[in-house]
Amino acid sequence: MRRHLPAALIAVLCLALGVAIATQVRRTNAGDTLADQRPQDLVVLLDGLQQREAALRKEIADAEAALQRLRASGDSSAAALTEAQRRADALAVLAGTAPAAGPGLEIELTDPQHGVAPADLLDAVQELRAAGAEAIQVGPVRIGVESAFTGSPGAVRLDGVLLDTPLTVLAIGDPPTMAAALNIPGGVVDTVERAGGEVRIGQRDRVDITALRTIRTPQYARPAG
Amino acid sequence: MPDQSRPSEPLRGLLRDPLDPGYARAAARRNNEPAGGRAQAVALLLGGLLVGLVFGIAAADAAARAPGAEQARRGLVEEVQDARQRTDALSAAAGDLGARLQQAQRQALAGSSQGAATLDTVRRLEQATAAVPVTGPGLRITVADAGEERTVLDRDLQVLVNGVWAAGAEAVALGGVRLHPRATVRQAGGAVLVDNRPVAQPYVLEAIGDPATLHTRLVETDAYGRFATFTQVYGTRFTVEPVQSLTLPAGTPAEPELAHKEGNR
Amino acid sequence: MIGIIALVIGVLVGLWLDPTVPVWVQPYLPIAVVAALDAVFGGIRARLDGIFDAKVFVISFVFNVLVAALIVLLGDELGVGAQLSTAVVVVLGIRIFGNAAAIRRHLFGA
Repeated sequence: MRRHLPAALIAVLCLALGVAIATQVRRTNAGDTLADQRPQDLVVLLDGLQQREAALRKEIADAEAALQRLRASGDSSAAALTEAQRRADALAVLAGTAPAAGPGLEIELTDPQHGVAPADLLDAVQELRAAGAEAIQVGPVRIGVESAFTGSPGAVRLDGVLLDTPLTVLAIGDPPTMAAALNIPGGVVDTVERAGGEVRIGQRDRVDITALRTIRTPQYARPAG
Repeated sequence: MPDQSRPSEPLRGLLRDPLDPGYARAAARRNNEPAGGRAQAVALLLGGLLVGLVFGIAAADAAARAPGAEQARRGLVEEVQDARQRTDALSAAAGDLGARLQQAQRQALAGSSQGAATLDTVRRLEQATAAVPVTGPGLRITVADAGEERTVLDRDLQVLVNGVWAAGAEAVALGGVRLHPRATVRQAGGAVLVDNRPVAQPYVLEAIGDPATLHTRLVETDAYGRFATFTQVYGTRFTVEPVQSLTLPAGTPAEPELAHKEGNR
Repeated sequence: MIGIIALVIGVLVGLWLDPTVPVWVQPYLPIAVVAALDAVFGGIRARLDGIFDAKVFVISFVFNVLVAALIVLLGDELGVGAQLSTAVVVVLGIRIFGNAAAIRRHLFGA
C-alpha cells in the first residue's frame, strides 16, 4: 500500500487539477452575464424578478387558501364548487370571455392625420400590460393572448376589425401606474402626438369592459403531459 | 564565451540565492553566534510593526478605494442572483401546490354534474389563457444579432410575436417562456425579459399551428418585412423552420386582483 | 515570536488607523507591500538558516521599500513608470519565490 501512495497522490492531484481547469473554463464560457450588466440594467432585471416573485407568492397564497378551504369544509363539493367557479371567473376575465369591471383608465385617442400605425397601438397594449393591466379593450375588440394588430397607419385592424378613430381604449388595473407608463418620454403619448394625434387619459374608479372574445378550439395545439 | 554569460549573471544570481547578503555578513561578524540582546529585540519589534503597518494601511486603503459605484453594482448583482434563486424556488413550489390543488378539486367535484361541468369550463379556460402546456406542429423562428451591437430590440420582438399571432398561431413561446394574456416582452439593457424572465440571444420563438399556413401568412406581415430588412442591412440572423412537434410549457398568468367578472350577479 | 506579535499588531493598527493615503502615494503602496513581503520571507529564511539578524531585517526592509519606490518614481518621470513598476514587482516576486523555496526545503526537506 505504501508503495502506491505517491502514485495515488499524484493521481488525485491530477484529477483535482483537471476538475479545477474544467470548472474554470466552464465558468469563463458560461460568462454569468450578470457580471457585465450595467447598474441600470440590473435594476430593471431586479424589478422584473421582484414582480415575478410577488406574483408567485400571491399564486402560492391563493392556492394554499383554496386548499385550506377545501380541507376545512371536509372536501365538501359545495366549497370546491365555489372555488372552481371563482377560478373560472378569474380565467374568463383573462381570456376575455366574460365582461369585467374595476378601476382603470379610459383613454381617448384621435388620429386626424392618419399617422398612428399598428405598431404604435401594439406598443400601447404592451405598455399597459407591463404596468399591470388585467383586462384591455381597444375600440370594440377585447384584447386576448392571440390579439394581433395589422393594417397600415391610419387604418389599423385589430383581429381583423378595422378600428375607427377617435378610438376608445379601456384598461382595468392600477390607474396611476398605467397612466405613467403611457406618458414616459418616447412612449405611447409621445408617439401618437408626433403622428399628429392626441391622447387623453382619464383615470377612473370604475371601468366597464363589455366586449367579449370567443375561444376558438385549437386545431393543432393539444394539451401536453 | 565567458563574456556571453556576463549579461545573465545578475539574473542567475537572483535565481540562485535571493537571500539578502546582509544576513551572511552580519553572521560572519558575529562569528556565527546567534544574534541576541536588547538591540535585537527592539529592532525586531520595530521591523515587525513597520511591516505590519505597511500591510494594514495598504489593505485598508485598497478596501476604501473600491469605488462606490462598483460596490453598489456588486450589491445589485448579488440581489439579482438572490432574487433569481427565490423565484426559481417559488416557481417550483407554486407548480407543486397547483398540481395538488387540481387533484383535490377534481376529487371533490367529480361526483356532481354541476361540478364536472364547472371543472370542464375551468380546463377549457386554462387552455385559452395558456395556463397549460401544449404540443403540436408549428414553426421555430430564430433571431440573433450579427455582431456585438444590439440591433434587435424588445419592440422588434413584440412586432414579431404580433405577426405570428396574426398568421394564426394557436400558442406561442419566446425563449422558452410561454406567452399568456398578461405576458410582456420588455427590455433590460442587455437582456430581454419575457414575462419578467430574462431571455438571451439567440431569441427562439416557437409557434404552434399548421407550419405551411403559418409560414405563408407570416411572410405577408410587417414583422417579416422588418426582419428581412434587418438581415439585409445588419446581417441579423432570421430563420424560419417548420417543426413536426413542438412542446410549449405552461404560462403563469396571474389572476386579476382589480378586475372582477361583471354580469350574472 | 516577538516579531510575529509586532507584525500582527502592526496590521491591526494599520487597518484601524485607516489613514487617508494621499493620492500621490497610492501607486507606491502595492510596491511597498511586495517589498515588505520580500523582507518578511527573507527574514524567515534567515531565521531557518540560523543567521537571522533583526537589524539587517529592518534595514533591508526599509531599503527595499525606498529603492523600489525610487525606481518607480524615476520610471514615472522617464515615462516608463508602468514598465519599471512591473520590473520591480517581477524581481521582488522572484526573490520571494526563491526564499519561499528555501523555506520549503527547511520545513519539508523537499
